[in-house]
Amino acid sequence: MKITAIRMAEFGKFDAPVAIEGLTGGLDVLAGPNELGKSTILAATRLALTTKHGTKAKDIEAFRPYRGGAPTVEIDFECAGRKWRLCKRWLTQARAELLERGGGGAVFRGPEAEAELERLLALDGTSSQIPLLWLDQGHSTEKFAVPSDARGLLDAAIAGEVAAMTGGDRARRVRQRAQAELDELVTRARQQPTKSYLTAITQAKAKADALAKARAKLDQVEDQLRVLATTRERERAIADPVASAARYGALERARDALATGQQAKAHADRAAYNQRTAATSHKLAANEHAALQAALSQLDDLDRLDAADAREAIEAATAMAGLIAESTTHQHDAEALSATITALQIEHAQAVTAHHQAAALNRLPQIAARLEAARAAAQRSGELTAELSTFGATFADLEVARLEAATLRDLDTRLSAAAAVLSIDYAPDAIGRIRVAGRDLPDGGSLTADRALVLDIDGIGRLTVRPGGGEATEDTARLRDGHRGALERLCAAAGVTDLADFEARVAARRLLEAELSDLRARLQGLAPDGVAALEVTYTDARTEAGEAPTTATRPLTQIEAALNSARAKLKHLEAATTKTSSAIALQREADAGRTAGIRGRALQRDQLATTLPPAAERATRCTALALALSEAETTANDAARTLSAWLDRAPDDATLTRLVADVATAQDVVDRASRELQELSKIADHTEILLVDRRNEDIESLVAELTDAVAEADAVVRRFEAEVAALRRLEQELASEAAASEAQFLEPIKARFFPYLHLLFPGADAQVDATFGLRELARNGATEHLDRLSDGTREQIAVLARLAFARLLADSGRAAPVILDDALVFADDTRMLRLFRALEEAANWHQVIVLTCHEKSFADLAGRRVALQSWERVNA
Amino acid sequence: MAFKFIHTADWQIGKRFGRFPADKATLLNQARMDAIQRIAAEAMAHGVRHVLIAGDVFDSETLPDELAQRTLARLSMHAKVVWHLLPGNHDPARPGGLWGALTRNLPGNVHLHLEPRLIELESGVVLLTAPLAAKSTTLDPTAWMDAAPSPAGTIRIGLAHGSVQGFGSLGEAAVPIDPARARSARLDYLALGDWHGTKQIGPATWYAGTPEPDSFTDNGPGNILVVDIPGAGSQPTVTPVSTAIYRWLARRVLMTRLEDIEPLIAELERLGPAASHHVLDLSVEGRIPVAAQAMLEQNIARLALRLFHVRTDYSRLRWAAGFADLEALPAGALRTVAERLAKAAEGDSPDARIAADALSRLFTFDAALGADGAP
Repeated sequence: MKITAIRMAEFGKFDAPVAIEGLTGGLDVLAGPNELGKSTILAATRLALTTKHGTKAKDIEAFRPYRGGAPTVEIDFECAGRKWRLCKRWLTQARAELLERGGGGAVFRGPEAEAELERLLALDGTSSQIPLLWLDQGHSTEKFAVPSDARGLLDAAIAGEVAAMTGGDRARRVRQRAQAELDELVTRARQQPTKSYLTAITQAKAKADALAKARAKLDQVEDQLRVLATTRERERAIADPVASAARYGALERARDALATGQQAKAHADRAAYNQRTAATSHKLAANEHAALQAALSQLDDLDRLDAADAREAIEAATAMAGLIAESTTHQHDAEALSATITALQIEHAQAVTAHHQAAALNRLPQIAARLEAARAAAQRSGELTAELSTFGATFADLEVARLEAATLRDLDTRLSAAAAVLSIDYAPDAIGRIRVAGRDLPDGGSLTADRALVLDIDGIGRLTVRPGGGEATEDTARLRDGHRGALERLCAAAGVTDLADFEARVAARRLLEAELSDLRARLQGLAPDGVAALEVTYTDARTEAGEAPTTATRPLTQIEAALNSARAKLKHLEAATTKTSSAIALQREADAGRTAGIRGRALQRDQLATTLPPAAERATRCTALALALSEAETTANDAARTLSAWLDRAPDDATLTRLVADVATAQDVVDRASRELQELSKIADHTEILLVDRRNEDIESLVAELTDAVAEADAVVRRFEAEVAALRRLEQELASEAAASEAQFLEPIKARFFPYLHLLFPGADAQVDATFGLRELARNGATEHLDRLSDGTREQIAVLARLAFARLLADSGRAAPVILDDALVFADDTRMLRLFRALEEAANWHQVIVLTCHEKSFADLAGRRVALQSWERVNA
Repeated sequence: MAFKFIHTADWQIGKRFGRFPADKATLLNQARMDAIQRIAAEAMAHGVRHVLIAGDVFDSETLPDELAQRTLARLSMHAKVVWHLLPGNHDPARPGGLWGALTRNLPGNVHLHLEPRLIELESGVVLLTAPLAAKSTTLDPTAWMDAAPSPAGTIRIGLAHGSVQGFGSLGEAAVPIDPARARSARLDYLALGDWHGTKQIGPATWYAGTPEPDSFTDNGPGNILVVDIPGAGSQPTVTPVSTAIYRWLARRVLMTRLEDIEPLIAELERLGPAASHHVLDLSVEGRIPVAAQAMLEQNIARLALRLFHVRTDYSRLRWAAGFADLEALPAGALRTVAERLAKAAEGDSPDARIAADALSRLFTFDAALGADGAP
């Protein structure tokens, strides 16, 4: 297909009719400024070739000019070797017209024009997929791939080339047909039944459900029939005359047995009442007789008790007299003993006082001696303490002085060892002397120069001798001087002259301290609580000894023994007195008890007298009551025998209960039979009504019919299953074969893609799929995924993919124009030139229409320049 | 004295035919009711007054009263015929069943035999009936007939429904009947129902079969029996009379090539106009070339147009692709797949069946699309 002219009126931004005439069918370029309407031209072309003129207004509205109107597009094109003119108008007075130009003269209008256009494009092989090859402004970097709904077009183009290897178009069409058939039976995605298959399943299920319901109803019918048969049978059995007579006979017999039993029971009850009455009378007589006997016996008992109490009262009076005498004796003895004890206590006190005075006199000399010795020791101790307080030297100070002295000796030794020793031996005629520190140095004397010595030599001057060792010796000398000073300060503080004096002083101090310690130990032994306390002890002892000593009548121990003995006797006498008093109290209580008993019995006797007949009548009364008791006993025995006889004949309670239950049971049997008959009649009538209803549904025949229908429906489903299995198997086999030949399938694609790719990217390799989609681009040793490529490179690849696809279509006899609307906006100059070569090459095989606003940039692109012009004819 | 009557059975009025389209099912159903008219006509033609129906008068015991009453109305229309109806296993005489409703307003020429009993049909002729009160029983319902007395010289006719055992196949009812009952009960004829085909069991024991076929079972259905008993103790003369409107044919064709179907086509063509009352159950088996599939289906489709109804079963038919069939395909994917499917289609496994069907579709689609690939 080639487009040779495009015309528009009342379309988008074009209020006035415009046209592009003279398109060559090769490379045609429309270059113009922005706002020229290039994108509108592309939209108009797409609309004319793919959108029917009767399309709804809302889909066309975007193309109506602002001032209104009916979008109109006219396209001249060549297809399958014939020239055509297509004119479409949408919205108001919508129309479509397709006429063959040149010799044919065929004209189609309205739907026929649309159908013919579709047929022409299909005949051309491109169909409505033409716009795939067009690249819109602003979409140039989008990834290109042939969409799935255009795979037929791609497959058709490729199949011609690989037919010898893959079975060609026939395999593809068979597979498409198989898939189409499958699509009519199962869903593509989940392979679930659909359309007629689903309908068959639904119907089979509906029939199966209906059958299940019908069977359930039939089961109900069967149940109802069984119920009815059972009910009728039961009705007959209950209503059977023999059975009915048996039920009523049983009831009658039960009732007779109950009546007999109840009569015997009534007789027994009366006999029991009589027996109870006689027994009561007998009991009353026995009680009255026994009461009289008891009262008389009680009177006798009261008399005996009174006599016994009288005897005891006499004996108690005698005992009480003895006790009182004994108590008096005890009282006199106690008073005597108390006087004795008082006298002994006075004697005892005097003896104790004498004893204490004697002891004090014995202790007094000893205490006086201790007191004197203690006073002497305390005085000496005070003296020693005063003397010691005058000693300045302590043992601790001595220890320090000893260390200083030892250090001093050590330093002296070290200085002496290093110092020169000067010896002076004056000449006999020496006129002067050598002086050291202002003193003459004696003849024969010597000096140790352990420090600088200044010798004044008369007539000569001063000679200074310094020890060896330099500053170290001087330091040692200064150190020694320091220690010497320290030693001297220690001695001065202790009041001694030197270390030996220090040692002697400390030794004297130790002697004084030892004596003081002994004195203190002794004082502690003499007066542990101190001399003052011993003074008090001494004073107390002198006071206790007194001036007039007391004398005792006898030894203290004898007095104490006598006193203890008297006290023991008094205690024993008190116990005897207490015992006698208790016995007297008991006797008095017993007297009171007896007196109360006698009074009580007198009252009882008075009360008994009120219930008893006079004493003269009491014997007669006893005899009469004994006779009455005998008669009552006879009557009671007769009643008991009568009762026993009826009890033998009357049923017991359990038996009577059973008889009543027997009657109830028999009655219940009769009643239940009657009720059951009524119930059965109701059930039967109700069931028959239900069955009539069911018969009207003809349920059994319906089950048979549905059973057949379900079998038939299942068979249909099975046929669908078999059909799906067969189609699926066929499709899978063909798909498997197609997959196996995919490598061959890609060859035609690569054969078209790579020449264009190498024009733009010399030496590059690429991974291209079966949809012309480029996945990776390999250049200069690096492989890049499409998504990581620059916008410019992606834009260029999008153009190349369309050119390759168009080339494949052209090679398979389906040439279609490629239209690029400002699709090269990111290319640099070099790439742009290479793209121009690719477009020029492509134009050798199919039409390429370039719409651009970059006139200068596209100056190097070959091809015919076309311009937008007025569509004059439209006005005509 | 001689006695002639008609023995029929298994009318199964009200039977539905769920495997058929509704319109055809209605016609088959109606044909069973219409059989009454044909039987009455045969009775008139043969000078017969009594028609004994040996059970399964109705297809079920739950038929609508309206249908049962309509049946009675049909029977009453033929007033010169006395109809003796016996409950069978399809329509047992149970309380609540349709028989109870029929006893009301019963026409004078219709007798319902709902209890086992001996009745006098005519002077010197007694009928001993064995109605069923349940769909199945382990007791022989005719057993009582052995001890049933009748005056000497009386023609004794038994009427029962059940399965006589011992003739090679059982009827559908689970009701046993002693095949020697006619002899043990001194019956001059035992009229049986249940076996839908006409069948003689003994010298005086017959199944009449259904007067209107209702299945593909090839056991001689579609008849009534005209029974003529010369006298008590005499051998009856039994004459089958066809009453069927629809004929049910079951045919199994073993195919190895397309021509194997032709004898069947010829057989059916010979039927002429009567073919429109034939129901065909066609089972095609064997293995034929895929190329013949379309032709076979076209032939059978054409055949179906002439018959009342055709039911086909291709489940045991395998499509095979021969060398020539495969060679006709273009080299490449299509032929490769066809060869693979042809190999997989060998054998009788389910997978082989699928492969054969897939192969069939491959050839069918390819042929439909045209050898040049045009759709």
